[in-house]
Amino acid sequence: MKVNTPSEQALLKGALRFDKATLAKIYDLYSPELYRYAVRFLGDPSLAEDCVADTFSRFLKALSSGRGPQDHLRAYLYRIAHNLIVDYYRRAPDIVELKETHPGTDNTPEQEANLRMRQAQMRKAIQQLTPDQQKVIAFKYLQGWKNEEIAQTLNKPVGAIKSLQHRALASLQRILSKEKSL
Amino acid sequence: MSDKNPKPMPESMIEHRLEELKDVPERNPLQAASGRARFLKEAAEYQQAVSPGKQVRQRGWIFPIRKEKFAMNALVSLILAASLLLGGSVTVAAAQDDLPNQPLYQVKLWTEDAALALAGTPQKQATVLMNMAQRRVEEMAALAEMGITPPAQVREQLEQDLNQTFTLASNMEEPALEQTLLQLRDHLQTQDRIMEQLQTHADSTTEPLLTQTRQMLQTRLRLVNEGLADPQGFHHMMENQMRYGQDEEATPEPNQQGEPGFHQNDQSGQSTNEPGAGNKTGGGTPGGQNSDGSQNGNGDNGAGNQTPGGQNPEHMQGGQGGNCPGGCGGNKK
Repeated sequence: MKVNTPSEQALLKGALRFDKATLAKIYDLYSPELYRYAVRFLGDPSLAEDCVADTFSRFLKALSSGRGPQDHLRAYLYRIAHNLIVDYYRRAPDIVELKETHPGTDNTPEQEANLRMRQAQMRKAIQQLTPDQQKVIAFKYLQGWKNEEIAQTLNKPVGAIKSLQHRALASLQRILSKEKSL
Repeated sequence: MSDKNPKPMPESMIEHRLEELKDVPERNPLQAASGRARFLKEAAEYQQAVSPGKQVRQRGWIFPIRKEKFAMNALVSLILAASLLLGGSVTVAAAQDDLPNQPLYQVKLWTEDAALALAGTPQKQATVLMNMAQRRVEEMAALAEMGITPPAQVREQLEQDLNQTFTLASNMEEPALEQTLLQLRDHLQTQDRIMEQLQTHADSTTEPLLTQTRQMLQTRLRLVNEGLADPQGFHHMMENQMRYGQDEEATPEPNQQGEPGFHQNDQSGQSTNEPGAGNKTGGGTPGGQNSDGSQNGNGDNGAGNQTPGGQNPEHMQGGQGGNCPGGCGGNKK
């Protein structure tokens, strides 16, 4: 997916006018993927919804104060969401969510609990990476983006993204190996 | 719980563990719809906050006549020069004391426009405009003392001349800015005193116009004083005027919802939640301060704030003809 398409520019133009239809389109277009991004990091659908709501609220505020994005709207929204997630972990670093339920899975309750623990452990491990490493891991492995998209979003060359990815995986190996395997 | 010499976890295992995070519970459609509705409601509130600004921009004191007026002035000066060559100097001189209800008043206005066009620098233009404003006040005073209610166009013209002075000042750097603002302050104080004196014996027909004029002068006087105290702030405010047609402070804050989890209790002052904060990882906006922490629930930016530029709408209206290109000077034609 191209990140900064002409239609994104058109969306931004409409957003700057606070055009209701355009803003609704922006919300419909980006909120689902931002929700998935947030829930993968936070592991809690309610917190993820809050994160999405806050992301869009901040977007409006930025638009109204003239500090909104000039381009790369999608990347901009992701950056807000990611920073909110980082803030959240800063305030509640020991979060281990176990309340998720996955209707439709065939896991036994014990398997489900183990899965939740492993997920929480991985999220904690990701939080220990550098901000850029976190984003690369999230975009690449959680959102399934291509390196070119990540490069455009993070405004870095593709080579730098590969390097960040390599270092991030090495760090995760190190962090997770220190902990007892679940 | 840690091993002393842990064996590195294979990369494929890490990737598998990351894969496990991809499994996302389906989004609750009710929560999603509610979030969408809240977003659009908030957007509508911002739009309402922006819309009056648009009106102010179109009708207000940063008016679109500026360019046209300066451009028109060149033409006017040519006509005037031609008329002088044809022996019109006596007419021009005679017109200088005419009042708005007198036949040569239009010639007087043309002369002023010509003087403005011939002023070489923004500072000189500002001086000409201040003198023009002073003349409008004197005309209003002369008419009021004769028991004649000054035409609204004179007050509108006064307002325009002052606004143009502000616009010119906003593009000046120190020390020209300070000199111009000091000069403007003297003019405004004098004009305010004249209006005050006129008010003491004005009849009920003239009184509202004088009150309105005085309010306008006082608002601009306040802006001048703020500009003298904080030239940077003056530039910033004028820039906002031109961009949004209203002062930044006049933009009301949206209602904060007090969302749980994210923007409550954020008092650390370390939030990085706006792009541009902290690491520069792309084309984020500069600044990146915590936009919530300091403002949450603070309602002191309400739309009711009367700011020097974004003053009350009644005052901004200043007559429909006041801001049409070339036309606020409708009384000049």
